[in-house]
Amino acid sequence: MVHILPDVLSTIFSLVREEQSLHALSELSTVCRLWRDIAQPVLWSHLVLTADGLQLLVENAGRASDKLKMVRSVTLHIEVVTSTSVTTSRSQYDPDMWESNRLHGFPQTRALQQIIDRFTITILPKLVSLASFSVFVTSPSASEDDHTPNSIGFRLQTEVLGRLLRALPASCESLELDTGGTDWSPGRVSHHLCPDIWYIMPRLRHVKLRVHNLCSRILLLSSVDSNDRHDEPDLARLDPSEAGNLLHADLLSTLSICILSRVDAGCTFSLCPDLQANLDLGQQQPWLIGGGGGYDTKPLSLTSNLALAYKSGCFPAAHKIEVVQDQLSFMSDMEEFQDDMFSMTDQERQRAELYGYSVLIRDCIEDKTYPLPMRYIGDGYHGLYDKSDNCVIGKEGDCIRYAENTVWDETVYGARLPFGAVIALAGATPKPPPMLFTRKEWRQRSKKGMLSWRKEEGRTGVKIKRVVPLDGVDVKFDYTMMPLLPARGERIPGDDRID
Amino acid sequence: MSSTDEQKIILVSSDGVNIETARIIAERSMLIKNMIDDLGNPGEEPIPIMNVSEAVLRKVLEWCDHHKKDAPPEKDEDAESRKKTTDIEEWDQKFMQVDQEMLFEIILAANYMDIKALLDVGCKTVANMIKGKSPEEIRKTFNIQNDFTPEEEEQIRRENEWAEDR
Repeated sequence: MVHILPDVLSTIFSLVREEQSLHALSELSTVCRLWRDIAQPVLWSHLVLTADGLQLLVENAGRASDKLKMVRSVTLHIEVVTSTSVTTSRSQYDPDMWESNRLHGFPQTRALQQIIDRFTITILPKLVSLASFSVFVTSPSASEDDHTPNSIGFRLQTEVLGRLLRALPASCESLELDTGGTDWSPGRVSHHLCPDIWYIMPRLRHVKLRVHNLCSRILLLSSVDSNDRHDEPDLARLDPSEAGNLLHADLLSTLSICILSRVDAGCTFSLCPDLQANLDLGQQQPWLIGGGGGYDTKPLSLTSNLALAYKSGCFPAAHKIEVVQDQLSFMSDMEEFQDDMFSMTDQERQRAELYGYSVLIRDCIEDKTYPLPMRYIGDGYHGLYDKSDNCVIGKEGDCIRYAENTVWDETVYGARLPFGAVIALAGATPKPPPMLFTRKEWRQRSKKGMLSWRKEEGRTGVKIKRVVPLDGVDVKFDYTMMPLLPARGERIPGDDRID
Repeated sequence: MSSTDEQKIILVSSDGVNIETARIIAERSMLIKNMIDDLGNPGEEPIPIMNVSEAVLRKVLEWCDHHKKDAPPEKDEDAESRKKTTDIEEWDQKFMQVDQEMLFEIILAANYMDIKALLDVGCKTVANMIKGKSPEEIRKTFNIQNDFTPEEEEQIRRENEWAEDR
């Protein structure tokens, strides 16, 4: 064969990794010694591991220190073991087993956690070049006829995650943790992941978290009990004696947080009618502080504390700190929310709905909250109005994902990429960005033509710039079904887009 | 700029053959573009292309001619807009239908002459040739000797097992 320069061969092998498979690349290592010497660094620079792959790595590669030294990114991709795959049918329902699964997880889950622990102990310390670490847990969408909560047996223990995070090598500067809401702790005193994050944050540059529970203890370590989830600090009233426990993340450049729900911790963002009360008091940022009703215990601490932490210099290098809270996670307060609705005036109700049925995004540097209203628009589709006046149409879950993406930003969620420009693709190709239609293109595609808010009851509505149909959406959607948004100029509290 | 478009320059292949071409075509090669910028007075002096033979140089210039109007490569290549291996444009596919020796010569020349887009097409073509082949088939395709001991081969397989298809 004609000699190819190693550089060129390495480029070709990278193409094989990104566009064919890790397996294909692995095969190239066994062609000849020259190819091995070039293929192995390409293969080992980015580990992309499923649960099975993780087990094989732990079993076979513990001694391959020379290979582990090459690893620059690890992407751990865990698929949730669903309850249906274990309990074969309802007739075999066994309450004891059910309770055991609830407490300790499925046997497979426990085995996986042991593997993760072995990875933490035997592999992680040897990854001396590791720059980026990602964990993704994908939960299957619950089917209509499966009412068993599929997360009951699959819980990624925060104890295991915490040990993993603390063992990250010093070279690691990007962390992406997406538990899909499966993080929990089986302990009598449940393990609290936030202090673990506090511990590693000072050496990280990019942090993305999509977790079930997260609180301000990522910012201020408790001097009393680091596992007390209910003790949430208020940085506005920081005790000087605690100042030493305040986070100083000098390197942190971007922090993106998506909270799926916060058990016993209230919402990250406040809902009405506290909002109305604050508006009546003339507060500049009425959504910031709760009060009254069921919201006074844990008001909004994380978002406001993050903004306060930024202002007080905890993140001197940060250029993006954003938090998004999944609309569904407001549901935990839904009952109280609906009780409140009864006693509201029309105006209050309208505002409550804007917040209650919005995906809220808080830019902690700008100190602004952006509500992205989402409404059901028929045919199983929802419409979501994003920060740039785009209308995104799709299934509810897809719309929420899209909203999260506006926080997730350059790394499209679900692409399974290690982020950061210095790191190349790791075994997966990114999803193309959603197609955007201009007003003109939409008119050509849709028989319904118009692309502004329909007029209703004398209101004109906001014009939207573009329509973004997500996967599987018929673009011939009837625009008259789109929900009405307040017209531009109509005052909506807290909506910073409208002046 | 029309004067630059029509300007002719002379390249000299490694086997000493003078080839006249338009400056705009030759400047697809960053190597040549930099040389012209450094030398000044383009067209007056022939430019030697040390490592590329006449046959390969003509082939490379054929590619440059076809792509002379392409937009210059962007600095920050957007990962999302990158094309798949299978997405080689039709003309380029036909262009790359040459014997293996020529294919590798073109890749080497593209690398030496710093023509990124041509190097990309070449690498993609080779990646496509590898696709779906077993190690033994790959050795056959590229005429490579297996220089592993069975133990070495087994060790690689075991260490790389995490990347296997399951």
